Amino acid sequence: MSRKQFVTYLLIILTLVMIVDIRYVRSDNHLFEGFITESIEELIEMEGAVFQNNFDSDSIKAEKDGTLNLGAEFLAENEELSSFYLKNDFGSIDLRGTDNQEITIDYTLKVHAEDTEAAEEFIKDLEVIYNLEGEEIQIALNKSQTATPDLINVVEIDYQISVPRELKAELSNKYGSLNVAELESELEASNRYGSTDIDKINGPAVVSLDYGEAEISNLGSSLDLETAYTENTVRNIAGEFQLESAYGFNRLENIESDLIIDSRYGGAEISRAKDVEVNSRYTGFSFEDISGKITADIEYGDLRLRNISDLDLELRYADCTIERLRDYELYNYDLRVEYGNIEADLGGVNYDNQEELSYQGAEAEYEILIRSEYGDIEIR
Amino acid sequence: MKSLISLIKKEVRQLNILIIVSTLIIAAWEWFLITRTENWPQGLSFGLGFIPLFFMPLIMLFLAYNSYRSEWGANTIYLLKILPRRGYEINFAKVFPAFAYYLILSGALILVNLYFHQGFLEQAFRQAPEMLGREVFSEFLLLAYLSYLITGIQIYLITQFSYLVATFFNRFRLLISILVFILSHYLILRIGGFLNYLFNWLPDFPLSIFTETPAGVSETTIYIGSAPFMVIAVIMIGLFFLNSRLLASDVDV
Repeated sequence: MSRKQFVTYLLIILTLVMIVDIRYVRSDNHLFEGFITESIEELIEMEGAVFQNNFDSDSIKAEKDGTLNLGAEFLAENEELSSFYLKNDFGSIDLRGTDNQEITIDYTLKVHAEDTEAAEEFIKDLEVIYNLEGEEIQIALNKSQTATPDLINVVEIDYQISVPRELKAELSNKYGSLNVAELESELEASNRYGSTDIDKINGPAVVSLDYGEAEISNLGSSLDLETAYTENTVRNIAGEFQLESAYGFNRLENIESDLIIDSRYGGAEISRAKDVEVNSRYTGFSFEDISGKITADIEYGDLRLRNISDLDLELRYADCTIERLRDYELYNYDLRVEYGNIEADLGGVNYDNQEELSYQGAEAEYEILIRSEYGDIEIR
Repeated sequence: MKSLISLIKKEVRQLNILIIVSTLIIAAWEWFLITRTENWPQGLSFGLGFIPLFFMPLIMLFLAYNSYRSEWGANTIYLLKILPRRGYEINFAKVFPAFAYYLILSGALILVNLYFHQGFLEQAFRQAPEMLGREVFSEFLLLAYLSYLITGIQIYLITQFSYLVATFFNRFRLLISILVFILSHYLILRIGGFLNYLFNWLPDFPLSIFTETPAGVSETTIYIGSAPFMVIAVIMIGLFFLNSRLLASDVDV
């Protein structure tokens, strides 16, 4: 047999072997399997167990309900009490203000573990307790939720809480939902890896959110919201609203006082607001029905404005479109672009491919002042 | 030794144009990105700076395929085969310049990218101190670069092997090369799975990782099996000598 024939037969045989192997054998034994050591397998199992805890009830090996009730007598004895503090490392918090002068905490403890017997033994001694620290009542589990013995992974706690509405609340939650409603006093809240719903808070609110969705509505005072990687809907804010956002999308409606936005990456839709101050990089904006002045320093990210009043914009690498002006004669225009174009339709007169546009409206009440570099301005 | 050096010099001279053109293109690309660092989103120019790394294995494939094809094309394979040098020396003279080019250019590109984006990296480390430390980054970078170098040399030797096998045939050389290229990868993956058992006794590579769970941020040391690295090294050395052998005595010219 010649070498050529030998190579030909070898290629044919190996090709057939490869096809049969891939099609029918489907073995997992291959070169890259060698990278997987026991430590990696353990890590994969651990990660799976931990992250399934949020959603998979299989890892819950023991569960019990409990109640902590601090009645009117307790509050009367501790008159100085003005603040409620709760940190939940894993689980959910549902807190509601009521007219009753009592604190009621209904909770469900869920022990995520590798062994049912160990979990049942461990849960026996678990309960939610309180600690008074000056004017603050602190709520916690009597043991750590996360630093647990062998075979126990973590303790999940779902809280249902009612407190007197005038109590200040300081809540910190992870890996679960956070719902707060009907408080007259201040709220300080943070949530990570879970959804958040805050409604009807009359005191100032300071909220910090990472990863998740949030709905914040009907606040009677100011809101200081710091978010990253979240999708937020915020409605009906009576006081000043400061928003610091990174990598998220914010839908803001009916902001009755000043709105200050500092944004990096993401987008925002703002409708029905008064004075707005924006400092943003890489964020797209849509503004609609703004009765106050919009002052903005924007770099990268397009801007769409509808039904606006005064504008003072510094734009770089951002296109700006202005639509639905009440009446073009109600505005004075001072627009300048570098490395871009202005296109405007003012009362049927078209201004195309302009680098500057100054126009004094016959009944001017508002000012539109825009300085733009590397971006177009269009007035429709 | 002198003749080996002169063989290597000859190969380097043949690569001159490719080396100059690719270095200039990559330098221009990096320069362009460095000038845009201030204006573009943070990290974008850093990320784009690594794009040439995706093309370099393709260049290795091209170099390997042409390493002997050009000799056949220019009818210089006769001269190469009658040289009083062993097959592995001739093959080494082909492999060494290509690998040196791959190693130096990719290493320089990574270093330049890291050097000119120190500000961004500082900020990234500050923002995520819990999740990613400098040491972890260095460990990861080293392992990733080692894998990248292995990929380059593997592509080169398999492509060279594919072409040399195809030279047994007078027609359909490109198709046969492609078939052998696919088969070689399949066989390395499959046989490598069994060869792993031979090297399981070797110490594994430790790697620190950080995970955030409901139980807090924890540092864990995981171990990556070292057997596949050894298997690939053994197979590549074997392939190198097989290519040398094919060239020296088996292929027809």
